[in-house]
Amino acid sequence: MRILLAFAALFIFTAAQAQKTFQIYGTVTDSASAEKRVGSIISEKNGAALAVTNTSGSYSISVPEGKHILVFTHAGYEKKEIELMVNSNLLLNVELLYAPVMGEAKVVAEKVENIANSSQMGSISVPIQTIKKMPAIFGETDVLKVLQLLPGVKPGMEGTSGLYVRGGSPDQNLILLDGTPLYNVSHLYGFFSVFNTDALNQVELIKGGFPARYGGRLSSVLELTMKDGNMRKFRGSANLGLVSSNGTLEGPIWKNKISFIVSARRTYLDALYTPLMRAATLNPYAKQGYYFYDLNGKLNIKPNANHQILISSYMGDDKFYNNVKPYKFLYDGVVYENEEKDELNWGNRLASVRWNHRISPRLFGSAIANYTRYRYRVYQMSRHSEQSDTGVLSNQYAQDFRSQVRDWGARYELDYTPNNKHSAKAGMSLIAHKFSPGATVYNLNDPQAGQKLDSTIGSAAIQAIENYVFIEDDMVLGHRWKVNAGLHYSQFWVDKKLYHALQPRISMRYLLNRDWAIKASYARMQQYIHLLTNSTVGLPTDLWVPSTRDLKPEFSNQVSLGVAKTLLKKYIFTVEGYYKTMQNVLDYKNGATFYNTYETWYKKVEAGLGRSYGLEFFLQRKIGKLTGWVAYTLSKTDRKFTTINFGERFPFKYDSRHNIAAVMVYDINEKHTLSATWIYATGNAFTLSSVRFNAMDADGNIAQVETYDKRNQFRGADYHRLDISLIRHYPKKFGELNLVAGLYNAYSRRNPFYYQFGTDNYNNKVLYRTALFPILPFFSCNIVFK
Amino acid sequence: MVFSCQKVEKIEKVGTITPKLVVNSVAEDGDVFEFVVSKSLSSLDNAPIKNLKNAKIKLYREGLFVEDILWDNIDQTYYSKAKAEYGKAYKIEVSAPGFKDVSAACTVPRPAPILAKTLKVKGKNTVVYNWGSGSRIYGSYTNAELTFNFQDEGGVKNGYLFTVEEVWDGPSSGSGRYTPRWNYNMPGLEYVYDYQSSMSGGGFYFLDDALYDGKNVQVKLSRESDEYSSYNYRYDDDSVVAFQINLYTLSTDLFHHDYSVRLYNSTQDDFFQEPVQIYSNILNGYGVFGARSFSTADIPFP
Repeated sequence: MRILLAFAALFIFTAAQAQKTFQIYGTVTDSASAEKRVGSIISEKNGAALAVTNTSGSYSISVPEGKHILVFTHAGYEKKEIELMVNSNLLLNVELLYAPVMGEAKVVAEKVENIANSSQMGSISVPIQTIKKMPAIFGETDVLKVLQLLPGVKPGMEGTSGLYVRGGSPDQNLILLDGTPLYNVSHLYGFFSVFNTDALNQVELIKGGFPARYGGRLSSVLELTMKDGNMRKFRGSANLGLVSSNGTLEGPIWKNKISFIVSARRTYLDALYTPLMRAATLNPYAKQGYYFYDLNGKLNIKPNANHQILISSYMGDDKFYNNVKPYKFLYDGVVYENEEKDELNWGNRLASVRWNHRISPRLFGSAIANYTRYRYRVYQMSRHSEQSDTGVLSNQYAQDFRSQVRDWGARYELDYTPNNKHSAKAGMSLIAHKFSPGATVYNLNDPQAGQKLDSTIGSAAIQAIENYVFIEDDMVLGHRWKVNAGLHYSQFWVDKKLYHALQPRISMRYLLNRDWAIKASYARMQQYIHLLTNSTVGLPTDLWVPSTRDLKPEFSNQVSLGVAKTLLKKYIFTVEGYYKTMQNVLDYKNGATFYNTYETWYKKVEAGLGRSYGLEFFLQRKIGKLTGWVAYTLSKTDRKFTTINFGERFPFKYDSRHNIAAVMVYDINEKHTLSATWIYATGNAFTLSSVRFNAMDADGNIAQVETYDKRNQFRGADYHRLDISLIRHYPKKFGELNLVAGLYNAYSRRNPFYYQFGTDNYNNKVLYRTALFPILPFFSCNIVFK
Repeated sequence: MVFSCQKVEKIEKVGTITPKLVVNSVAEDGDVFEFVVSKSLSSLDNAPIKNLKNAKIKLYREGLFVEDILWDNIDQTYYSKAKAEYGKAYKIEVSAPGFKDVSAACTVPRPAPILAKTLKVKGKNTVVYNWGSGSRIYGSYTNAELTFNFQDEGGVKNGYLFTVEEVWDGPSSGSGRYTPRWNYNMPGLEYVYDYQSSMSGGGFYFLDDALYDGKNVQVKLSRESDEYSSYNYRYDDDSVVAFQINLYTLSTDLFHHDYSVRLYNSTQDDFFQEPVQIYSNILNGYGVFGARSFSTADIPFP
């Protein structure tokens, strides 16, 4: 309470000071589409940055009365200088011109944001334009796979899109799409992410030094902002790929007032596969296949400069099916009818309504209500009937397994900029969770056998309430210090038990000179939900579960220290070291199995400790003909449980000592773009039985066992891969046609996917390594309608 | 499509595996120590595991040397002359040519007699069956609650292993026994189903005494039904005649070792099961040097 009063006093004091100055406020948008620009920098000419646009593209700065030249910059855009005579508060909405290929002679955003200016640590944003130009497996541009190339981020297995950030597991990533959490972010067991890059405006990953406004996960915040839709004119794009195609359409419904954007993607492997399979099996009723789809939609209503309403939605599903359509046949005077279904599907639903409103030149408010759901379902059904002169015999069996998590949430946040030395935020959030970790509905009807069953077996649904409040202030203290300090207080009600935690956050910057800065941060994070997984590729055995009376919330403490420098006005260079401890992380106990129906899920898991530390080097260039980055991470992460590995620490499965990533996107000229990525990582840690011996039980019986000395003691082969692509741009009357050709795994490295014991031709036991993708050429076609 | 690209390669090694001595011995009060000594092999070594005959075992009691134990060609094993005694601490040092020396220690636990036992059968099924000259009534239950008590020895670390067997008799399968799965809500109690156990049913309960040191321990078990299942060999016309409680007090290391072995045996052919590590107290080697004691009690079916 005292801390809150102190913040309130600070606001009053700074507000009083601010009376001597005037406020300039507004939004920064793209000149062609009126799309907001997040992270644009507003500075006084030849002066330091005064403000950065927030996730709504808004800013607010204080200037004294008189003449000023304000400079607005955004990576990839022409900078804009505006001269003003300020003698009152002023609404100033600014439009920037996008400069897609930046010749050195052009006067565009001549420098990237000065990394030394910000107090934020462990945060990286990757321009969507860069992501779109990077090579991708099957030509499917994938945001998550690009993020895997950042320092401190480790991919899971070959080709998958899991993110392991600073030694954390994928459930420790808070992934927000337009401010709403998504639980499952991958298709096809992780080979593709659910995000359609054509519909995205901004991607930012925070790995440490978390501002107080974020909470609920230990390891990272990934904030993805969808485009709001073009306010000026209709625009579309289509991507035709080997595996899937997608299309995006955006435009004004009411020019400069209401816009929309819709985006859809679907794979078509099933359409190709089903006819082939029917021909092969000679069964015209068989229907086998797999597909996934994504649908994004957004409505942007901007009645005036001070109000904006954004309605976003997303839905996506994966579906495997192996069905036999209903069919009849006559045999020996009896009409037989059969039908079979064997289906597995999982997917997300998400919807949100956000209301952004400027309350005053210094105060900006944002309210959001949202819903998110992740569900997977395994459905099996068989139906059989025989109709003859004597009557009808029929039986039916169905089994329907479902697991899902649903959230209903509401949040309100305020941005308050009393002057240029303070930028404060405060807010509150309420989330109602409903977890259904898994229940099976059995339905059996066989009158002839006298059997009838309609029963539900499995874990009962669990309801929980999670809420939090936060307050933070980004403070400029003198010329050298900048501090972002805040508090995040959260509560979680479950099973008549209340968990709560006060989580302090602080990030500090000390400016050594104009371009060099030392940064340090501390963040305590608490997490109330967990993903139980005994697989790395998002199999449906994964269960989202809450903390319970017996299973306490996970929490972490992370400290970071680093230096940051802007080099030659075009490069960002950072070195960061971090040390993170995690408590109450969950893992399955020895011998626990997903299919053991005797035990409920919480009896199969054990809570333990995690530890992660490392050093990250990052050199990034965001503007110019050549963009990209080089990243190197030296890290170690381990786990410790009371019974697992007999209480000794063991490497986390994705512990990796060395990770290197090099990304290059080179706009050769206006017609050609060449891009390449190279990644290297120390091999993953596996548990493989390494030794065989005779073991005696307490009855004195001896039997042979195959076991291992330490968990995750086996190291897979190192991973490395080169991907390259070439894009040919064809300007057309309707817009642009881009042809993409490339090679995934250009030198065909056989990277390990998994290891497994088997037997050879002489029945000897041998270990096999399975590699998934050799060199894979890919092609895609991108059409942009302007 | 994705998996059509995969390529499988043979790997020659699972790291560097140095063979180690494997020593197994479970002692009981009043019995001589028997040792089975062998060596470990790499998982990829397809050779059979043979017992070693050239090991030397030194036995110590309460820190004092007792005897050298050598291979007995007549008995084809390693037998001590000394007998195990309750409460005594024993240590062994084992050497064999080509292997690193190993050692281990254990204390022979005292038995924990079953002090009290009760059985409540809430619902009872009876079947009248004519057998031979007369008719007999065969009983089973729909709800049963079984409770028993024992005293843990204070200040001594050990663990308990128990089974609760359903004993039946009847015309279809004759007399037999089975370890049904009981429900429980007791801190520290773990159930393991050992598929490899020679005991019918293979259900074992493990209780670490860490939470119950020096206490009178009460175990409460309940069971809703004894319906015929694929694991139950009893037919409907077999009558439950009793429950038998078998309580083993295990030295701490044997407790952990036995738990891991039975857990390992419970993981057969389950792709999704987490791997199990086998606990060993043999320093620089594998196996177990442990001791146990035994108590039992019957509860007649009402």
